[in-house]
Amino acid sequence: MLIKRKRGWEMPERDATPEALFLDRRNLLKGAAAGGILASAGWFGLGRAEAAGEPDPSASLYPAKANAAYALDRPVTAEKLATGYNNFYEFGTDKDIVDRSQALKIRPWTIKLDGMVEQEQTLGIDDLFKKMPFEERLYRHRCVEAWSMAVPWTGFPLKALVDLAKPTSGAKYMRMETFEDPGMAPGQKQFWYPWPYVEGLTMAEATNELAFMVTGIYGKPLPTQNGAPLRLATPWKYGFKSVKSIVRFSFVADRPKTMWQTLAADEYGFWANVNPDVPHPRWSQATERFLGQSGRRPTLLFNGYAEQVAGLYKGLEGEKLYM
Amino acid sequence: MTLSNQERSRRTKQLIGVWLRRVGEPFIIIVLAIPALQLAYDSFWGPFLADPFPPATRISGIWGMRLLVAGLAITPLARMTGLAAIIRFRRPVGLWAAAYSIGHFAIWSLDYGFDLSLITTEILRLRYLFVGFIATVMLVPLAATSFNAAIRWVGGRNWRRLHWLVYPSVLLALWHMATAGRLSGVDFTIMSVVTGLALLWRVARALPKLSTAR
Ligand code: HEM
Repeated sequence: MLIKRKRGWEMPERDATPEALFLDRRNLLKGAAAGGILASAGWFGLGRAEAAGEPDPSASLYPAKANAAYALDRPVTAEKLATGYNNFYEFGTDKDIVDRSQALKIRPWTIKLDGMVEQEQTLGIDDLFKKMPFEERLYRHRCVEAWSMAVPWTGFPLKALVDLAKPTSGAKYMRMETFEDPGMAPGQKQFWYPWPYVEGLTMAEATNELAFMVTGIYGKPLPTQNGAPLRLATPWKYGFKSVKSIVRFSFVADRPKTMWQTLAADEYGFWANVNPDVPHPRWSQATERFLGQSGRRPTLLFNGYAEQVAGLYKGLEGEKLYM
Repeated sequence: MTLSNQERSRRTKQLIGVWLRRVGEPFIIIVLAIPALQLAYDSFWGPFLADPFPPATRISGIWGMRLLVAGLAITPLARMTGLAAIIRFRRPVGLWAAAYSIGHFAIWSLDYGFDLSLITTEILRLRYLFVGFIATVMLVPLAATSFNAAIRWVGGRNWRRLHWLVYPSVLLALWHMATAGRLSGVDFTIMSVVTGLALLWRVARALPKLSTAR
């Protein structure tokens, strides 16, 4: 008899609570208070994208087919929380950047693939989308600040984009860069930050099956505050690695210096893999606050994705893998 | 009948003094509750609902710090302006400062589920927490002896000596704030400058006394 062993992160689909049910349950628990909040969901920017009127040119891609291999061990976070509580320093250092981020113009939007590639390419975002295999995945997301959520992302494997770029054999790292336009993003006027936001992965990380390019959330195109029109999701790493609103992918030989490394290398490093046993210099990473739930839950090594990614770090034990 | 300028200014100050006493003190007591109420509202029903602990920790700490520093500035201000009546504000401002600081510690502890061994480990492991903790501990006897009965019990002289503790407490709290991370530069600069000036003023006043005592 053949028994397919389930990997740690695979769960029967029924264990992933549908969002609507989850909201209902929360409502019952929180009673009138939560009801009031839901009624005034404007605080969380719910429905703002629709309110803007212009149909998103990529709307027809949604909802994409769910990839059942990426399921969850916990309920999906309520949409109003995941789309209302956002780190996006380009628009402010607090989490309430929903309104300000609406100034981000996401069309036209071009993506540059350059560096050590067979041929440099510049593509319109919708032309890129036409070439990519879309699907939906349920991922956990763990912020370095010790909060977490679980969201349905829509997008395509980063590997598909790497294959399109055709890096040459000298490329060891992938460098990703956010747009830079202080006119749209007032945070970028703060000269003491080394804009633009830069992040990077090794080629092995970038081509790992978990590395995902995100274009949508909850079965809809990404709202600006979540990093429209294209962002990264590397769920085994702290959230700041998952760079938002990307305009450029460069394939390079040397390890790129990320924005957070420039700002505070001893607190936010290049690797930033989730590890409950390695504390941040100013707080413990052993537990996390799951948005919308009271109390803390234990943090998992590699955020629960060790089986996929632990192998990427063989031979790198001397590096600060968890910072 | 004409009043001399001196007499007129004395009377104005007296009048302001009466008003500060009658209306000012209750007003301060109530007004300083507003940030706490706002914080409670934002955390339970408002924009912090998604993840209230970080902003609640931050905001309670900032108000604790602001009021500690404001408390230090009251006596020098009273002496320099001649408005002795504002000395009365020291007690409500100081008590609220202690309340926000201890509340800040309580919120942080609640974030860790009041897990005593975890809280102890963290305070001993991280210096900025240890520094903040000592600052908080120093405020407790000051808050506890803020009532007339307590002042009588410890005696006015001892009470005044005890309250010198507020200086090391504020200095430690400033150090804590500077190393806690998300430093708000403007707030920190204002608080440091005011603390520095208040300290200088005290020292300048204490010096002649010390030399005549000799
Ligand atoms: C007199 C006592 C204290 C005062 C006046 C105080 C004040 C402050 C201030 C002003 C900040 C900076 C907020 C900011 O700029 O974002 C801060 C941060 C912080 N304090 Fe305290 N604090 C005190 C004691 C404590 C204690 C006892 C603890 C815990 C053991 C603590 C934990 C923290 C933490 C975790 C932060 C960082 C918050 C963040 O990252 O936003 N504090 N505190």
